[in-house]
Amino acid sequence: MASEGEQTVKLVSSDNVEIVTERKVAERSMLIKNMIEDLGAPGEEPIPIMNVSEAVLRKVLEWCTHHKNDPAPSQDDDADSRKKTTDIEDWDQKFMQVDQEMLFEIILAANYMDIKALLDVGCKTVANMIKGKSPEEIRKTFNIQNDFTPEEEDQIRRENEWAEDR
Amino acid sequence: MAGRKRVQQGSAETARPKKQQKTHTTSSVITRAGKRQNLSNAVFLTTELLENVLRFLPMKDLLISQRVARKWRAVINESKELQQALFMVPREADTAWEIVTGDPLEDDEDGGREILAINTVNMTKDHPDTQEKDKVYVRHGELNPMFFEQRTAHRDFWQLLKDGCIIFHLKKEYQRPRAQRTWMKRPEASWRKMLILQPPTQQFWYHFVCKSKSSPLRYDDEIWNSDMTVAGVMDKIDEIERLDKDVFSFGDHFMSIDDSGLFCPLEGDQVEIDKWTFRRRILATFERVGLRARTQPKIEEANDPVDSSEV
Repeated sequence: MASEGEQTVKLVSSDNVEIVTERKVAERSMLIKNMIEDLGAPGEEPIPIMNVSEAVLRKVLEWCTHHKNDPAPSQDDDADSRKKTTDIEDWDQKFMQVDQEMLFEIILAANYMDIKALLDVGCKTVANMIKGKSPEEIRKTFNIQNDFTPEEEDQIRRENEWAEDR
Repeated sequence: MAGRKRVQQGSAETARPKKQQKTHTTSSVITRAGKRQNLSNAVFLTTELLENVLRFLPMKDLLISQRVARKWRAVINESKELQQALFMVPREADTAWEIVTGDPLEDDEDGGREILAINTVNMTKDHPDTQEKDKVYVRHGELNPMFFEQRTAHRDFWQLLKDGCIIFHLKKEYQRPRAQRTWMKRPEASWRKMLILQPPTQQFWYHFVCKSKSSPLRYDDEIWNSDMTVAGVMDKIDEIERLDKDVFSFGDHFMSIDDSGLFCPLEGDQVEIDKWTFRRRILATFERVGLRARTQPKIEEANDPVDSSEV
């Protein structure tokens, strides 16, 4: 591909705020990348990011800026990511030190904008919040409704009692 | 929420965002709580997102997470990847062959031994595809971490076994006498169905040691199929415990893993052999597949009981 580093693109958040950013940064999002390729003339036509508000979009772009020079994800990455390491690199860890709402917003935005690496960082952060907690604590942490009947819950508890005890 | 879709290219000029804006009109406290609830739902009720969170959990947390809510239970049960992570469903043996240069039995500087000391599912002298010579190729597998651990050192066997196979130990907490293994009793317990190795190798060799009053060390050797579940291992331990009433404590459980008959079955079952015989058998097997066993001359001859029938 040509060197398009200096090009800019115009993004429009769900609350109608225009954000101009480097094309290379925006193209960390596969959604935007595909749109740019379809539109043909980058920089002129604004790209609507329908489901993402300005605050979240800026946060996402902050991540994209820091990671703009990361190597493009290859096909092999899927196999690698199976490794269940929840290690998160320092910068990302700091980046993810936000309240739960923003964390969820970032995950949803990364999913919508198709930024796999950011989605994974978000999900790892949530996974780290789950680790070591009991089901009750998990529900409490994330406002999750317990929709099991007592009998159902008891059955699952019996199946995995051996793991919970140690 | 559950129907969230990624918008594909160029779909969206006309649609206006609405969902996230809605709650902003009521009192700010309610709005905040409501918004938070919506966001939590959007993440945890979306199958692909919940799955993506769960895939970063260790086994124990994954097991426990099934009890959070129906959605969690369903996602864990229905996801092939998560079932594989739980050792419930076999993983495809797709790992690449890794080249170990040099003779792994050579005490070389660049760590050939180290490399072989990781979980090895398959080991072959020649590459299965290129038939390159003088290199050993290994493939890695993962042991069920809930039950087994890899011991890094063992007085008698380590020195030898680390050259060509790995010693796996059943974790100590599972080695208590039957009466204390209360967690075994539940027939519905999920561990019963778990595999002991991912991806399952074709077969593995199981070595069992127990101490009893009548004979201080007793060994059992068997070749088992790879689809052996944890329940199979536990049943075996039970069986041995029943056979040998004198057992007062379990020693170590060794497992080493190989492929395509790296170890041949020992004649008869439950043979009593001393450790030196055992050692020689392994060395002989190495020789048979063309691995030069440099450790052989180092066997402490002085301690070696006379036993010329072997090897």
